[in-house]
Amino acid sequence: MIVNPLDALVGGNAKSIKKIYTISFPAVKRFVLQNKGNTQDAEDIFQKALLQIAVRHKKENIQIKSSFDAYLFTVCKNLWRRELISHKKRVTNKEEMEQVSEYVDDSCAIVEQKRQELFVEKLNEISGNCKNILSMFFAKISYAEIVASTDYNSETVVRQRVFKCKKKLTELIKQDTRFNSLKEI
Amino acid sequence: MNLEDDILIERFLRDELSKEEKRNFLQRVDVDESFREYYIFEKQLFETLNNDEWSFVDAIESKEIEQYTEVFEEEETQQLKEIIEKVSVDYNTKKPNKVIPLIATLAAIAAILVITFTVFLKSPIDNNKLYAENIALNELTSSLTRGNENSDDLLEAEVLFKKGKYQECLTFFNKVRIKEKNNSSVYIYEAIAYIELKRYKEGEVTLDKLINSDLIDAEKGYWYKSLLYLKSDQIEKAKKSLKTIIDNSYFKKEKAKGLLGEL
Repeated sequence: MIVNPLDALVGGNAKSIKKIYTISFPAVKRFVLQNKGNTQDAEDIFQKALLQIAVRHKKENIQIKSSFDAYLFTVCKNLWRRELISHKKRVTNKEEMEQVSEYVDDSCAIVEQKRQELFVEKLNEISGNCKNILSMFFAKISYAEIVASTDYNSETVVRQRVFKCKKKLTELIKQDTRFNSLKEI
Repeated sequence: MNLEDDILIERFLRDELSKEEKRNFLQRVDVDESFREYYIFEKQLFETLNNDEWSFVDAIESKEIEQYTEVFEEEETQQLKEIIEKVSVDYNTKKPNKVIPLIATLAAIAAILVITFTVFLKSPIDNNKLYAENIALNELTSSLTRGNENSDDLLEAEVLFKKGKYQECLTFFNKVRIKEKNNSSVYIYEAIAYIELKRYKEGEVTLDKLINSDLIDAEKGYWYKSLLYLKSDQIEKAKKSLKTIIDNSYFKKEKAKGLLGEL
């Protein structure tokens, strides 16, 4: 019988969890090591990701559209990105980070992950042209560079196009019912 | 929202405004609700869809976060957390099994034999294994003493500790911590629980408290600190701590010599 990895995880099936480790951990470890982390960081992130997915599944019975391994990798990547940026903010003191308990912080990470999933999903729904220009815009590429790498004639045209595409993306996000629980957060 | 305000917000998020423009911008965010709402959403878009950023939660006291926190705190979730931690330790201490074709296996064995006979080869160090070999949980002295007013809590804590329920046992140890500050065993149990949970910083703080105390067993702190560093892959710190034990003839001096030799 094929066991759903999500159900096996939530059920605390050690054998299945070990299988998840065998399949998915090496790629996560490689990613963390390549991005300023060590083995210990990779282990911590992997454990956090598994628990995060289990908690979300317990609370809202999540449906994963991609494969479980791909989803787990994305969650790990986001958790590591969050960790690096949080560390950077703490070091540079650019923003005061509120000290919260471990579980509150883990809960915040879930909500942030949900926001990320919704925004990325909606960005993928808009037209290829809009997606392309917005991806460059959010990557903080200058208007001059966008003009140089696209068929648009001037920065003014690019600016107007970005404005329209962002408006479309905003509509799509706000129309989604998942946004209701995220907008105040 | 008009294009002009959109550009203004974008310039703020790109850090392109002058000091005065920034001040005016933030004042407007304070007083203009619709502008604030638009700005917050734009900020979320910028931070979420830029791979070098991350959009952190602003309102920690929301219902949504409260609900997830409750699930994290459930006993069932705690048990799952322990299972995941155990699987992680197990997975990371054992070499993965790989199906290797017979010829490749034979070639590998031959290569290993040649290397073994030609050069002195030191096995790679497995820190987790070394930790497990040296922590000797069965040798721990009980924190219970005759007539102790906290005996119920300490007994409960030790039972949970022996069952490997480190998260739960910490609740009891933390509870009696102030009253038991002269009980060295409490420091050690607590520190090991933190080590097992991979909360190394907290374990280190606990052991430093023991080391800096006037207790007769204060020196034991160095041994467990060496093991903490070993398990958390901080080898240079582990070596330094082991040297302190050897130089001062502290608790587990002979073991420390052996362990230092393996690192």
